[in-house]
Parts: sequence; C-alpha cells; structure tokens
Amino acid sequence: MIVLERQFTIGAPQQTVWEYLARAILSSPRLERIDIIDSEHFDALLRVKLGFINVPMAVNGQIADSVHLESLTAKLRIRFVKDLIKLNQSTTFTLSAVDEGQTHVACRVMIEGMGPLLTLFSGKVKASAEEIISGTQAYLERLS
Amino acid sequence: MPEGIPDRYDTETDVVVVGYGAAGAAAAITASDLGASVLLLEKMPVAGGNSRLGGANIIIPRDTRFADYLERLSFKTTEREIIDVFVAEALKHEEWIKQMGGELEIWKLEQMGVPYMMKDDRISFPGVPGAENTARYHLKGNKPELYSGQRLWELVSGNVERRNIEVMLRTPAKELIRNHAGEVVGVGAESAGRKLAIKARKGVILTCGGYENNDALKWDFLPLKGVKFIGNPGNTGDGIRMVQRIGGDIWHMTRMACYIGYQAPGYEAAFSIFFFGLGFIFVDRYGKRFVDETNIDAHEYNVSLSYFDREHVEFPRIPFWAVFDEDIIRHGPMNLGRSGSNKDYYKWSLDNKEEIKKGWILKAKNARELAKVTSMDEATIENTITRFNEYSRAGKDPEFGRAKINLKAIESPFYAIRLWPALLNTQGGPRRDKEARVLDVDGNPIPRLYAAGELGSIWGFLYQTACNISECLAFGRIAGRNAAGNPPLG
Repeated sequence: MIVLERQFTIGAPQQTVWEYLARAILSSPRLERIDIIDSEHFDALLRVKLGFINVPMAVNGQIADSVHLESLTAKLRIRFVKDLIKLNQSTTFTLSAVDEGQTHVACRVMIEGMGPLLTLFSGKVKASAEEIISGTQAYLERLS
Repeated sequence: MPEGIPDRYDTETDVVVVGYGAAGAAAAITASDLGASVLLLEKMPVAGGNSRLGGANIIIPRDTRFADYLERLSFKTTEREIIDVFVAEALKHEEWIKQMGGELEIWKLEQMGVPYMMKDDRISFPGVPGAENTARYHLKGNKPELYSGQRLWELVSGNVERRNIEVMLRTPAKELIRNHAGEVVGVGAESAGRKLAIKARKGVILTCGGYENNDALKWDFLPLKGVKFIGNPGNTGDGIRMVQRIGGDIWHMTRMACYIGYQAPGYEAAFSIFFFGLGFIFVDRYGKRFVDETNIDAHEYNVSLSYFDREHVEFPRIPFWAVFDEDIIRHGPMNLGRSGSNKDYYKWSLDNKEEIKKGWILKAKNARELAKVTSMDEATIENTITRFNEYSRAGKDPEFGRAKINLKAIESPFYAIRLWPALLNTQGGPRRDKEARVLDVDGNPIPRLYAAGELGSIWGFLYQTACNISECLAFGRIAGRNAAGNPPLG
C-alpha cells in the first residue's frame, strides 16, 4: 500500500472551499475524457508518464463519503490493459476552518494495487496521485 | 361561431390533454384521480416534451413570501394573484411527488459539474427581496445514471400508465372545436393520416409546449434573431395557433430560457455546449470578447448575445465563437449527452476528436490561422487572446471581471466552435388566469379551455431558474382539477 499525506491552507471560507472541492478534483490536468455518469460517479482517462510514453489508464471515479462541509473522498479505480495493473486510489480531503477567511485542507491518499506490472509503475502512480493533489490545491488556491 | 362541430365524433372522453410532457402528465393524473376519463394526445412518436430532455430541477418556495420575489421578477407582466396561486400550489410539490412514489432531494452547488465557478443559480436574482425563500430540488432516483429530467419523466409517465390513462402518440391536435355557446367541446386531431374528432365532455387542456422549432414565430416575437433550439423538435407553436384561431389572447411571447448551442449540419436541434476546463473565451464574429464567460445565468445567455449593432445592422454575437485550447479538448466532451433531443441520436466523443474530424470544431496552429478558419479579424482576435492571457497571468480581468479562479491562459493550438443562442424553451403562448383558464382578447375565460406548462407560461420577464418544471406541475394540477370539476356536456 502507498500512503501520501499533504496539508495546505486556502485563503477562503470553508463553505466556499467545500462548494468547489469536487470541481477542483475533476479539474486535475491528469484527468482526461471525463464522462460524468451521475452526481457521484464519473469515468475518465489518466495518463501516467513512463519515460517518453504517456500510458493511458482507465479510471472509474466516485466522489463519496461526503460529510457536508467537512470531508469527502475521491475513490478512483484505475486499470491498465486487461488488469495488468489494477489500483484502488482513495483520496480523502478533510476541511477545517482556521479562522473566518481561511480553510485548512488535509489530504490523505491510500493506493492499493495488484497486477504483474505494478512494481514497474508504482513510482509513477504515486507521482500521478501527487499531481492530482497538486492540481486540486492549485485550483483551490485561486479562491483566495 | 361554432368551430366546425362535426356530425359525429370518433371518440369521446371527459378531459382531452394536448401534449404529453410533465405539465400534461400532471394534468392527466390529477383529472384522472378526480374520476375523469382522460385522453392524452401527443404529436411526437416519443412523449416527454422538454420535460424529459432537460434538467428538471424544481423550485419549491420556502414560504409564501417567495411570491414577493416572483412578483418583482415579473415586472408587472403577470398578475400577483396568479403568482400567489402558483406559490401556494408549488408548496405542495414535495407531497405530490411523494404520492407519485418519488422523493426530492436538494440540489447542491458542490455536486460534480463543469469545473469553473458557475453562477450560483439556486437563486437567480439574490438581491431582490424575497429571494432567500428559494429552494431548488431535483428528483432523487434509484437510477442515478438517469439525468434528473429522465427521472422525473419516468416517475410521472409511470403514474399515467398505472392509471391506464389512454395515450395516443403521433396524434397532433389541429383545431379546437367549440359549440354555439363558445365552449370548447372537443379537439380535431390527426392520426395515421386520418382526421379524428374527439369530444371533450368536461374540458381541453393545452400542454403542448412553445414554439422553439418554429422559425417564423421566433423571428416575429423574440428580440434576438437567428435563435436555435436544444429540446423538443415537436414544439412548433401549435397550441398558440389553435388558440388564436378562436380569439384567444397571447402573452409573454418575447420571453425565453436561452442557453448556447452548436447547430450541427443535418441535425434539427442544436447541441448544448459546455466547457470542461478553464481555457476558453467567447468572442463575436470580429474576434472581440464581450462577457465574463463563466458568470452567465444558464437560462439567460440571450442577454449577453442581444447586442445589436445599428451601424452595421447586425447582431455581431449571433453566432459567436468560443475559442479554447487543448485543455478543454482533452478534459471532456463539449456536449454532455444528458439533455437535449440530440442525446437520443448522437453521443459526443469524450475527447472531442470526432467532432474535430467532422469540422464541427475547428483547429488552428496560431491566432493568424484561427482568424483565417473563422473569418475573424486577425488583429482583433490576436489582441483579444493576448490581453486575456495577460489578465489570466495577473489574476484579474479588468474588462469583464472574470473571477481569478476561472482565469487560465489559452495556449495554442487554438480551437473554435461557432455557437448560437439556443432555446431551452419559449415562455409565450395563450394568456391564462389563476385557474389555468385560457383567456380571450377581452380577458374573458374561454369556457372549458385550459393551459399549463411552457405554453403561455406565467414567466413573463425575468426567470428564476428551475421554475419552469415547477410551473408545469403546479398549473398542470390546477388545470386538471378545474377541467375535471366541470359538469359534463350532454
């Protein structure tokens, strides 16, 4: 299992950060061909760079476990070519008000995977997860 | 004068409902539950009208003070007593939906959607007193994959079916039949090439939509010219003409709920277009930006596009261009395929590549080539892009105030798609009173004739988002009650 943690502060009220959090996640430049299925589920393509090649991986996503104004989890089921790699990536964003105009965001990513090529890809998968968090952070920072 | 009373009728029923969308369903269900026999006529092969094809969000007022807000928005185009009746009936929506077997849930701004900060149209005009009494809902469903319009349609049409209410598809109504007393006593229709005369013992309810797909009516009445439509191609103004023929009055003919769409060759309706990223701008035919692209009410795009150049005698923003970059192309489909009538025929490619191949989306290496493929002025579009990118880097749009969170520089290669104002629905049609009775030109009710839904809706000036479906259900029920309550004709 891979675990990542990151924290950052956004210069905007918690209500505002909450309202844009799901959009921020979907704005990640790593996610392409987003097909919104319903209010919680989406499919997408995630490109993971391996050397000179961008490897496309199919993503089934869900915005889940939502506690209003406090936390939600982006659950991504990521697959590559007939399950040569299969990953479950769960990114939980927890919000708390620092003061009236600032919100602390704590991100915790858990990645579990299997498949014969997982070892080859694990570093890249971790980097992709970090990029999704960075993309979310960059989007939310523009709320300030 | 009696409107061609036939020698004999082909069939008869208590209440004839013309047009089978949400308003027609609400009218039919209500009349049926009061013991009336009902016949639903629908001109199209598939029922549902615009109700099936849209978002079907429903406004339920928090309390009756919502009427103050709506009255202000109406700008005296709708009488207060009609608004009061609407609000009183809309307060019953949740209970009615429950009786139908459904459940409403509050619409959340934080749900997934396009990534930019859309105008929060839970409350379309937050500065108007009474606006805080607005609450927006949609139907919760055990089929989340269905868009909310389809969920609502499944619910109401399922209830029509369970009541064994007769439905005749492919049966357009052509005329209203009146007796010597001026009462509407039936409908002349057509089915499989054959004329039908249908007697309505208690009343006729018109719920046959507006005139989105009637170019002549649109050109005559709408303040913008060259407007396309996204929804039901069957909405050709039939109800308006039928009522006018018998001396009925019309109102709200200049009003519309207007989005933006792409008119693809060979398609009757336009495709509603969304931008799944931040790297996009709107420019007029010369290449000039004209609005904060991310802060437009979803039903009021017509306002931004309405500018008329008197010097050149043209609408320079009809059509207009959306200019965008690879970020938009890669991120997701520009048509979400969940609303509009084209969703039944075409699935937009997830990476927009098919639409580039078809020439619906144009590609250009740089601003110069962009000007060439779009016939925009080269210097103007180059300047527009340069300035927008400067604003994006600075985090401030001094021209149109686009929010910092929504500013992102557009990188070449550039893409462009030609867009038009595209109607979700018109609002005009037969004038009605608070009992849903259609009025004649002297303001008197035409006996036994009712209307509900977008056909002569009560929204005559400014429109609060999600009130169309709310009105369909409210006045559908009012019309159904009143029609069913009439004494039957001999």
